[in-house]
Amino acid sequence: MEREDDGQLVERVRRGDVQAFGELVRRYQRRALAIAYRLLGHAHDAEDIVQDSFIAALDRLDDFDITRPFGPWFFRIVVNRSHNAHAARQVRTTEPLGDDVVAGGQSPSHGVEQAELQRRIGEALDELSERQRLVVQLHELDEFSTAEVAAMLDIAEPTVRWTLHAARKRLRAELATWKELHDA
Amino acid sequence: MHDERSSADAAGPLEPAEEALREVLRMRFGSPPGNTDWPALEARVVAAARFRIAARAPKTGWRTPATRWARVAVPAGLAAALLLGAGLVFGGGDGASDDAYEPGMNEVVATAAGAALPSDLLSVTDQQAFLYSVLNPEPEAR
Repeated sequence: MEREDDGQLVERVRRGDVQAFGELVRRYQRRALAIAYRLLGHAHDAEDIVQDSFIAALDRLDDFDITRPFGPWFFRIVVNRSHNAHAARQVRTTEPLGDDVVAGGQSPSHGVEQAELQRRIGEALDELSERQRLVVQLHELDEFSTAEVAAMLDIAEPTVRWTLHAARKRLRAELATWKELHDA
Repeated sequence: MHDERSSADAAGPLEPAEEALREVLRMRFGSPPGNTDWPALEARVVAAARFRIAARAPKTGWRTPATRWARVAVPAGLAAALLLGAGLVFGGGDGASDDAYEPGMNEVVATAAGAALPSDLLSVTDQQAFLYSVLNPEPEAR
């Protein structure tokens, strides 16, 4: 069966079709959760934000232009609601991560070395603003395109690309230094 | 910094970052937990939205014709009730039923009593003529 585009689904939701809304949720919940998680640093809070964001999108659905892509419009709602929740709860994304975080590639035998590398990387990333860090996370870890990141954060795409370029340059330098020390 | 921005723009689309770089970022920021129950989250979101979506649905089925008829029937019923009420209030409720027949009856009695026979004798019925003769006997000849 041919996959309906987002605009058709939105039209059906506007006419009161619950199944069409379910399909939109299926399509966007994973990426929405990734965004909310990046901003809140907590899985359960992120799930709450995903739910709130879908409800908010539903309430504003009549304002949505179906000739435009649904994703960036919806992700901006997720970002805004996550920011609001973040401000309300006074949670910083740079706080130590909770137990529910999956730390990729960590091995107990390299704990000390990785802690040192993490410290260096952390220092490098702390030089970025919160928004710049978010750009790096969303693009490098969650694989949003630069255009998507620009749309959801309401910034110019060249700014996103420049942020990524600068962050990579700094991180590569840290990595190189750490490898030299480690190999020596 | 300006040079860096220019070089990033001039480079065109960004090449994917090397895996080592992603690895350190993952180490620093972690990843969203992989044990999210997606069907459960979807069900939860849809359940929370169900009433809002239902409110958007156009009214269909029996309610549409019923609503259309109600637009006519309700004002018509109200108007009829008002007229009926007005009739009861201003139509004279006391003894109206007893008096209602009186004008017709008086006319019959008057006619029969000869107070006023119809001037057109050809239109006098047999019944009227009989009543007239009973009620107005001929004076006896002296």
